[in-house]
Amino acid sequence: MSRKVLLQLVLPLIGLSVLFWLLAFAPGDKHHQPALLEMSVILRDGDGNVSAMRKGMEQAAKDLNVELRFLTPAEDNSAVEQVQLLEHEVSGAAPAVLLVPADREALGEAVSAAAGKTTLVTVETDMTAWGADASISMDHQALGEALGKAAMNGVPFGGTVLLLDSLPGDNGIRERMEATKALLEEKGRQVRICRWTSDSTAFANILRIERPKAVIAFEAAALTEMAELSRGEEAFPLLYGCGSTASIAAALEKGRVTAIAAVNVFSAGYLAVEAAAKLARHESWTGASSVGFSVVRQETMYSSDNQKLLFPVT
Amino acid sequence: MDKKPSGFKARWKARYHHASIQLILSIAFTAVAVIGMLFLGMALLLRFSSSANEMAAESSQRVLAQVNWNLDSYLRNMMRVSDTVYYRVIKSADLEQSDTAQELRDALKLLYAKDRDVLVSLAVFDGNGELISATPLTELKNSVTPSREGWFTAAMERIENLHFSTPHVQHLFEDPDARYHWVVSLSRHVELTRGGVIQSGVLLVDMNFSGIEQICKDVSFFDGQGYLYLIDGNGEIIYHPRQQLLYAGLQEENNLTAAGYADGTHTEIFQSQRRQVTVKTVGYTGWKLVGVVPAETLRDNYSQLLLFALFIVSFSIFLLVFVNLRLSEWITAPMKKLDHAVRELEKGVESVDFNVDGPYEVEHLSHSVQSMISTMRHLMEDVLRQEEEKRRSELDVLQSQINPHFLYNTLDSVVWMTENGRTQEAVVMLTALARFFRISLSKGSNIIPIGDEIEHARNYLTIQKMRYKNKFSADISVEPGVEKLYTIKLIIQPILENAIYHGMEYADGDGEIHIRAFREGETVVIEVEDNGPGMSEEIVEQLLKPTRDVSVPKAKGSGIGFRNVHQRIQLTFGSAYGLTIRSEPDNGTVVRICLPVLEEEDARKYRKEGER
Repeated sequence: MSRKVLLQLVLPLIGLSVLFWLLAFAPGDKHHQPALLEMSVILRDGDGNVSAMRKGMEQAAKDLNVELRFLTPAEDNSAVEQVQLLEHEVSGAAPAVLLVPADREALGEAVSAAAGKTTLVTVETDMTAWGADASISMDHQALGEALGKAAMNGVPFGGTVLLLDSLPGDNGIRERMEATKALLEEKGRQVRICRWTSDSTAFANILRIERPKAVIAFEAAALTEMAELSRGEEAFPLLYGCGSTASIAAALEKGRVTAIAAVNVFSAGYLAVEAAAKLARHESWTGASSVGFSVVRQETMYSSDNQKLLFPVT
Repeated sequence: MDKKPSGFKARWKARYHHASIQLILSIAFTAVAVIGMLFLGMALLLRFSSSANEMAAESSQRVLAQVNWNLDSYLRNMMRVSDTVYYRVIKSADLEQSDTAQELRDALKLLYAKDRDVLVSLAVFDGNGELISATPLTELKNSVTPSREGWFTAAMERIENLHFSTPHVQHLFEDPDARYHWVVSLSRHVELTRGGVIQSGVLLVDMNFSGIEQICKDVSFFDGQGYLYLIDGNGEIIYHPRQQLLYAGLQEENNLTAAGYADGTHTEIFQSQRRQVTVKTVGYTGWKLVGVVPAETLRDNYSQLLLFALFIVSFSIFLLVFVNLRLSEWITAPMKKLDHAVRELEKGVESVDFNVDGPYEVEHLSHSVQSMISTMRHLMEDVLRQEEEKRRSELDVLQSQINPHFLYNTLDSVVWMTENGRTQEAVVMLTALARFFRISLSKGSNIIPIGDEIEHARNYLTIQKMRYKNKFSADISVEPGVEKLYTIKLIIQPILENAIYHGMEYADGDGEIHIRAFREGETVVIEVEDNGPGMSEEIVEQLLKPTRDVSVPKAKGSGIGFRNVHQRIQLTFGSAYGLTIRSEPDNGTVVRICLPVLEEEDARKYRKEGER
């Protein structure tokens, strides 16, 4: 074969084959699901309200190829245990961690230590100031004020409102409570803050002593238990609170709960996983960092929007 | 006025003129082939793309048809339940009778038990919304007013139809377990009999939403890249695989637009994404199944085939380029060979092969070129021959200029001698003259032996010495062997004539002329030396010039004899030969005649045609 023919035939053929190979096996041309990302979710309790959030998280996990590992402290709302869990996950080189902080103060150091070692996103309580990569929360100030306004309707001027401090420490729940307290006091209501206890007798004593016109619980677990306590109690104060579990919805429907502030926890869960996954994969994340809420009363609970909020479909 | 071509045109023209035929043919063939292949490829691609879209649409339609069939079966099952409750239980019951309520409850329980997986509740209400019977839960919530519910009012307003609601949370009945079910309600107007009086009522069949979800959720389009959702006639979402995300506002769907689509396949752009949307209306309900396939997915699905087509087109183009190169090379080879032959000819190669084996036109061209070259050669030979003849004619003319004066003067001398009784001298002179002319004629030959030329000079001297009464003496010496060499004739006599007329005429018996013939290598030299008055350098320079400079003072005589001899020698033998004159005033003149060494054999080619 002459050199000319070699140049004209063989070399272009080789070039064409290489081109074909590159085109056929070019990784950029194929749809890729991102590599599976393991994500640890450190909850603060195992209450029913987390269920809707978990659904949101699981939906996001399915969409983004994330494997979730839910970790719950043995004792509800134990910041100490959360610190241990966080440190354990970080030492285990967890690529991403979602944290529902029980107490900023207690967790601050651990969060700062974890920052940079893993992708850390907090839910409900913002800890970006401590080095968390992102936070998915709600406007606690507005939520607390909305609850306060709802309670004001049932409490006359000078009346007493009992605020249940169910989650000690520095967190988003406390922010809600502080906002409610400030509004009610501003509007001339007496505010009493009561450390939440599941001891019904002790709580009955508090009610007898304080004789509040309304009680406000700022998270689902406390509201659920308060709703149970009110069952059959004719003179039970008006009950307000945060949460959107089935039992809370039932209590709202029965009138045992006057109004609730229902947070879209499904969205919170979804957005939290989405943020953590994108940040862990070093993708740009421009999603919303705040989720909405809605004040729901018995008469509005089956409106099209509210029933979607209170009763997640999947 | 000629317009100058533009820059591009000029460059194009320049390249065209510098390009070879093979290159032009290759480029032209390749361009046509590539355009053809690309056109064909594009046509096939578009056709395939269209077919792929049609296939995708058909595939979506098949899937939707299957889902529709399943959904239709499901809904018909619910309608059958409704019909059974209505026609077999309610129609035959009189609510006034004491045991009817229990019978109705039992019948409802039985039907519910049969389809409990898909049913949430069965309930019958009177025209005011009062509960008549229900199962499995029997107690209506205090907070509920059925007559205000949408399913109730729809049934009461359009009594001839069955009404399907959009999904909602069923909250009519007291549930000790506080369960809330997402249901789709089927309601219809029924006629109740109470004490023989027909009254209006509403039958409610609550279908578990999960039944519809089960039918729709496992449907897969294009390896999971596509999805299906279900809307009612107003575009309200009944089922969507990401329903809660839609409810939470984290995602949006083009459901309201889709509600306006007719059954079939449509293309829409939603959130900057092109999508293929296939719509199928579920019979009776007015619901619409909507299958969505992102256009990107469709492209990905046939990207491999597209790649293959691309490769085939590229490969075909490459082969065509290669074939074109070879083909153009083959076509142009005869022309190249012809071009090469012409170039060889231009370089002066004598034997050039013009036998080109190729197509008719090229062969004809090669034959024509060959014939033309042959003709040219003949013409050139003719021209050369004519030139030679012309040259010879000129020689003849020059040669013929010599004789007349001399003949006239000599004859005049003979006449004069005869009149004076010098008969013997006249005889000598006439004899010399006769020899002189015999050699001049030389039987018409232009080339004669140097010996004859010397003899010719000797005869001339004899005559001239007699005419000039021995005013000068002359001697001739010839190197042995030189006399047998050849020269053109009549080259010494004009020199002698000049020497005698200009040098000896005024001599007083002491004039001398010496003639010497000898060889100098490959040159024969004949020197004619006289001791006449000589000439200035300027005059000497003028003597051999073809045209005389008028500004130079003229010597006695025109010097035509010198020029004749000089030109004749140069015309015959070339510029290397001819005369050289060395002269100084009062010091005589030496004329040196240079000739090539011509043997008899060499002399033949200088002879005129017909000479021997």
